[in-house]
Amino acid sequence: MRCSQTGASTSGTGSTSERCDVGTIAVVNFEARVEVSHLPGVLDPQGATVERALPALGYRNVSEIRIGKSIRLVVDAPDEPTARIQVEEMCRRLLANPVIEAYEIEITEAGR
Amino acid sequence: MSVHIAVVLFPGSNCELDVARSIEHLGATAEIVFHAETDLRGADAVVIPGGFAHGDYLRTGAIAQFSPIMEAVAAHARAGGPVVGICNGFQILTEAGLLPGALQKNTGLRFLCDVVEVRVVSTRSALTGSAERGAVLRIPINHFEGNYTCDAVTLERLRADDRVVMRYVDNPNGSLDDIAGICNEAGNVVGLMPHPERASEAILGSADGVVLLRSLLDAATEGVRLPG
Repeated sequence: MRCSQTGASTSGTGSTSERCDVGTIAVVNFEARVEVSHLPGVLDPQGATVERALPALGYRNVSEIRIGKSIRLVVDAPDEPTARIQVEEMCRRLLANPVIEAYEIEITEAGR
Repeated sequence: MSVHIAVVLFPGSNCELDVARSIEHLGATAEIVFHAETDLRGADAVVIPGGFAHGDYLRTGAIAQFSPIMEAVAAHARAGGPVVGICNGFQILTEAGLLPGALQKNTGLRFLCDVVEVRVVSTRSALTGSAERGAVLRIPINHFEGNYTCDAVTLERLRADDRVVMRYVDNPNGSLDDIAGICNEAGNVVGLMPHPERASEAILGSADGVVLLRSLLDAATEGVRLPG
């Protein structure tokens, strides 16, 4: 897909966003950030190990360390709700396992 | 014609030859089928062996569930054909939705490589049809994510429907309800963390896995024995 800079902002803030044309529908690049975390009660060996290591460095007031995954991707979509629905679907189908993981999605227009 | 078993090979599988050898040792034929293929070549049963399919990237079994061969595996399962997932194969079957629940990290946060005792709880599965209920088997385990978990409703259903196939005698990994293996409603899809292929000859230290492999071959020949 070819993309071109239009210099136009969809939000009117004056920032530059990328616009691509797929057929006749204008699509925008949205950057999605997916945070995948363990559900409460699911074991997190990395978090547990770091939680043991920090007091050794003198940080004795640290607890409840949980280490998850951060996944970033760019989605071409006509609007933000469409992009979000697609990323939700990706989370359910692949990016997270709902039996043991929770996820949060943050979507911003790329370039902003 | 002898029973023919497909053993699926993913990039990162590492137990496929052991499984194939242990099956052939019992007089069946085994064929390694690469994950990128789309048919099981007329196999009577499928084994998804242990290892680290696709490097365990993202989660164990997460990428493998979308390999082309998995559609054929799911179709085989839907048609009532025996499908067994061992260790990483169990993880793949849960990710693929062919079995409920998930395998989380072991409590104690250690990779476990040991021989453990498991008790056969149900004989209505494709892997235990020829075993005796209550029999205790010595079989190796070799995993980091073997701690079975599921929601309370699923656990209740597994128990009520006699779908907990085997339990650890001395739970090594924190698995819910000591579960070492489960099956689907029909009993033809089975997942277990212990490796029966590594307990298939006396020279390996135990031949207790033979009754499980034999059950699989029997199920592949006769169809899964369903209750009633």
